[in-house]
Amino acid sequence: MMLSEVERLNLNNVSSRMPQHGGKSWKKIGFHSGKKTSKVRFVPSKTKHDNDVGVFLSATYEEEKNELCMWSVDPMAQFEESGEKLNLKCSLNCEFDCVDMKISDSGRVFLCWSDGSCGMFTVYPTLQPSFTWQNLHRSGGQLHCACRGVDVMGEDVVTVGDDGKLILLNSYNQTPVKSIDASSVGLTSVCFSKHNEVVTGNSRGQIAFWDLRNEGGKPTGVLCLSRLRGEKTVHPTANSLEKHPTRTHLLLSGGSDGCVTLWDLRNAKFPVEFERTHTGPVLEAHFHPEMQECIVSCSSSGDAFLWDCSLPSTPSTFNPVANDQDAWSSVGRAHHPQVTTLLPKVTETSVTSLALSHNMIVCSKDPGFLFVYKKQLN
Amino acid sequence: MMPSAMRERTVARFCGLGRLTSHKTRVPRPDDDSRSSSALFGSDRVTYIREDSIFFNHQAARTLLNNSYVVFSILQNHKLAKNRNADTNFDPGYEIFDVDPADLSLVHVSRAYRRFLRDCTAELLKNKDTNKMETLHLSSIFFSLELIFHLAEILNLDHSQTSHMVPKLQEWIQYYFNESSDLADSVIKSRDDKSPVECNPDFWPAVTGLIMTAQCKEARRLLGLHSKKETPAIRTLRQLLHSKPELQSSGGASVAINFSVQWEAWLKEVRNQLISGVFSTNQHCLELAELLAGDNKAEKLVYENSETWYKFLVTYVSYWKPTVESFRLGEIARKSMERFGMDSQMKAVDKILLALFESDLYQVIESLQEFAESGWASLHMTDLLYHAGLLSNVVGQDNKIAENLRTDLIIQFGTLLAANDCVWRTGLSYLDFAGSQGVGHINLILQSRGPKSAKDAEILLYEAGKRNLVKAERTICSVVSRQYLMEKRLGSALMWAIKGENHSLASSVAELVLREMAVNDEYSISDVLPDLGTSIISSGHLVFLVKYNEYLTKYHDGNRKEAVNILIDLITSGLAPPYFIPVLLKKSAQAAKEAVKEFNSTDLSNILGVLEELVVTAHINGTKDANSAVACLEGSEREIREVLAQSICQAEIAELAKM
Repeated sequence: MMLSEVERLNLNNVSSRMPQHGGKSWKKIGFHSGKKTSKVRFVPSKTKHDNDVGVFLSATYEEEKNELCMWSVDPMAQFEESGEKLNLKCSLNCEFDCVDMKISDSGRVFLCWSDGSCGMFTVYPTLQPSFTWQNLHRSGGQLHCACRGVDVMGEDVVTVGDDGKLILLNSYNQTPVKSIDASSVGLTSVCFSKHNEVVTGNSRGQIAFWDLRNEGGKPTGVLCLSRLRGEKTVHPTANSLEKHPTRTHLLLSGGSDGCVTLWDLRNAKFPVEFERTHTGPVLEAHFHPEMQECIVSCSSSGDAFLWDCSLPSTPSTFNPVANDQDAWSSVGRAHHPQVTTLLPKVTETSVTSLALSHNMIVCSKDPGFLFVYKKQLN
Repeated sequence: MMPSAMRERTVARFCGLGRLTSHKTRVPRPDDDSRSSSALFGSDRVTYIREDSIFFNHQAARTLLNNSYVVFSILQNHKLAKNRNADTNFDPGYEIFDVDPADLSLVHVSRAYRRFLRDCTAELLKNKDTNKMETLHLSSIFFSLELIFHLAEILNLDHSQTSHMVPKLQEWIQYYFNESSDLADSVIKSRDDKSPVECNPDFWPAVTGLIMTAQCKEARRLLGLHSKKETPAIRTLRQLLHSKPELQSSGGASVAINFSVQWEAWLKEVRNQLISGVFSTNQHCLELAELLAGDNKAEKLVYENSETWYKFLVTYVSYWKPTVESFRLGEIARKSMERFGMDSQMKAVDKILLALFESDLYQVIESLQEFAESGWASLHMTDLLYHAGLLSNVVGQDNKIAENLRTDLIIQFGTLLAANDCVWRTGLSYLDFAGSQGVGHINLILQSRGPKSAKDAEILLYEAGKRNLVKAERTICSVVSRQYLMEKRLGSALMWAIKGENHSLASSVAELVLREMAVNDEYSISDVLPDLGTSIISSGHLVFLVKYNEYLTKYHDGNRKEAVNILIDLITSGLAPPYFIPVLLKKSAQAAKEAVKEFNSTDLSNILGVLEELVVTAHINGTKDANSAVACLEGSEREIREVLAQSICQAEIAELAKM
């Protein structure tokens, strides 16, 4: 199925609305100033009532001594005073820049490095290195070939890199299971859509679907982020890809043109684009794991937004079983998302990463800030 | 071995902003005939040299840089409230990120800088892993800077309180020289029933220190612990400390007049008590009463108990000139320094504080540059003074000079940061505030900074794009494209060449792809070709490549009619490079075999004509491409001719049948 020619629905009326600052609904509860952080991710709690719900990892980039750090935030505390610092639980030195990070439900951490390697760490009982797949992605020239994206499903791990390769790994196997020459340009993002099926994004704005059981090395379908801007065709890099945690037909992409796009794969000809709100490349876009009608995104231009796509009559709740069928199918058509600014845009330095858990959001912002926000209950 | 006729020297070359290369070179002796260029390079090792800075190596300093950059940006981007009351309960540090910049004043910004400096000092002292001497040296630098910024804030930025300097100066000295309070605490803690508190050797130094730094309430409280506190000397001294008038830091002229009246009355009382001889039984009380009276005899006591001339100054103005105006402070400061005999051995911090008291702001900036902290302080101080409108008074009435000074300092600091891999983007952000000169520097930096990876290049491209630096964008793309070309990553090379609108490079890449295909019939970049849009028009090779890809896709998808039409166009249009004609002829023969009904006889004849022309060209002109093309055809030429001839026959028969 080739879906390269797609029509798009532009939410111009949404785009023109200025985001409202979420100062009252989101309260800053933690802050740290230090090294430049490329990725932040919450560590999944071991049990439903785990006190470690506010534990997250951060990994640095472009530093002389890069680090993988584990932080904790008390989610129950009411931080009213300013300048609350985060509690650094432990840190590990890393040789290279961190490019991407994913944490599996079982607490395994997978880090993509700028030298083309992928490292596996364990979080429980302590943060420690487990294994590194060296030189997964390589080039023979002066440009470093980075491992650009990683995703994990069960024991299966996929990585993509600047060499255009899609590599399948197994957590228990030190040898790569499969390698596909997936693109003649660099691959920049990857996510599992189903077991044995992955989606890759490349620097030409192509989103390709792969069935890992196939031998041919050809994608099963291709979507395209390219668009005509004036007289020029723009090919944004697909910086971020994420599948909805429960509705597997929903795919979220973030492009270097500042657009966040929501694809309903059952009818991919009509994606919904949340465009022109970010003025710089979108670096990450995520579905909220629990407020399932919400999307968050951040960009190089210093913005971090929360898009509440719930129906006006059913405001966003923490109930994960809420029926969001109608909300997603009619967003942009029958109703428009409510846009909230998560971070005051004091400077235009990149918001490099966002992590979501329960009612908290962690943002990393250049040149080296970490912010933790907590949703205020009304 | 180095020839005896050569001498080796190290040569340094400027290679972009903030960077130098150094390598050894051989200099021929005058009597040496060998002048070849290879002989001149004495070493195969080239060393890159960059200016070092504490912001590159110390995490505490990095945090200071991160935070101060945000505050600096706010100051440049927003109009600050000029007359906002600076005494509001505002945390200048981390909360600044959540405060509406419209509510900020220059005093808030200065306090934020001071808070960051204090945190930096504390963090440096906390970190035990690093070199102890270096840490102490750095922490003393940041401590001094905090001291300087605080005094500058009191004397220059806190306009609403300029008429009441002394209380602010007392606060300033108490903040940084708080040993007396610590000493008093230790005296209180160490008291026991065995001996009276005044037997503690630190008792009277603590009382003296507290009175000198104008902490009279604390001094009175400590004196209250004296075992003979009811003796006339101590009781009277405590009473005098209790009744000492305090000048409020805020308030207008009426407050100052009121204070003067109260002060004179109190001073009279102190002098009367001295004359009455009530203190004659206690030497300590006598000396302290003389200090309260502003008696010249007490000057020695103040001198002996002051670690620095500026502590001496504050005590002096507290008891000798409590209503002194700011323009008289310079003269007092110089006298204080003379008292300490420091005229000839002034350190940088002394010079700066003296210049601040004398309102010589130009000297302040110049001396700040002597601090080994890479120009952070001179830039941020200059910027504060510039925004306060004070620099135009320093260097004459021409604000342009002040503006240029600020711009130069931003460029100096920005380029220093931009040369480092960790903070280069912060450097660019600083340069954004240096007007057109800053943009010029950013342009050069972006072009000279070789991207290390594709992600790095994307960031460079974004930085160039957001500043509309088209030339830098093109240079970055071309550099990356060429690097990919060297790696034979043709898809990426083509993509970056197109992105950078480098048509000749894109054309070269397309030609390489075509040549590769002509030899191997393999097609490595088919995924990037379908969606190139209008960018292909600039290059004939690229147009041809894209059309050929279209043919392959359509043929593969079963759209043979359309595919054959494209193929015929490709062969007959003359766009095809000679080395690629054999591929097209083979594809034509194959298509004619498999789908002859999609051809007409004229097209097939034209294709045959192209084959004839190629062979003739090769025989007559003997061009390299034509020869190699014919060589490629060798073995299959006969087969192609036969297929085409048969197909022409079939097509003609079919056409006749239709007529």
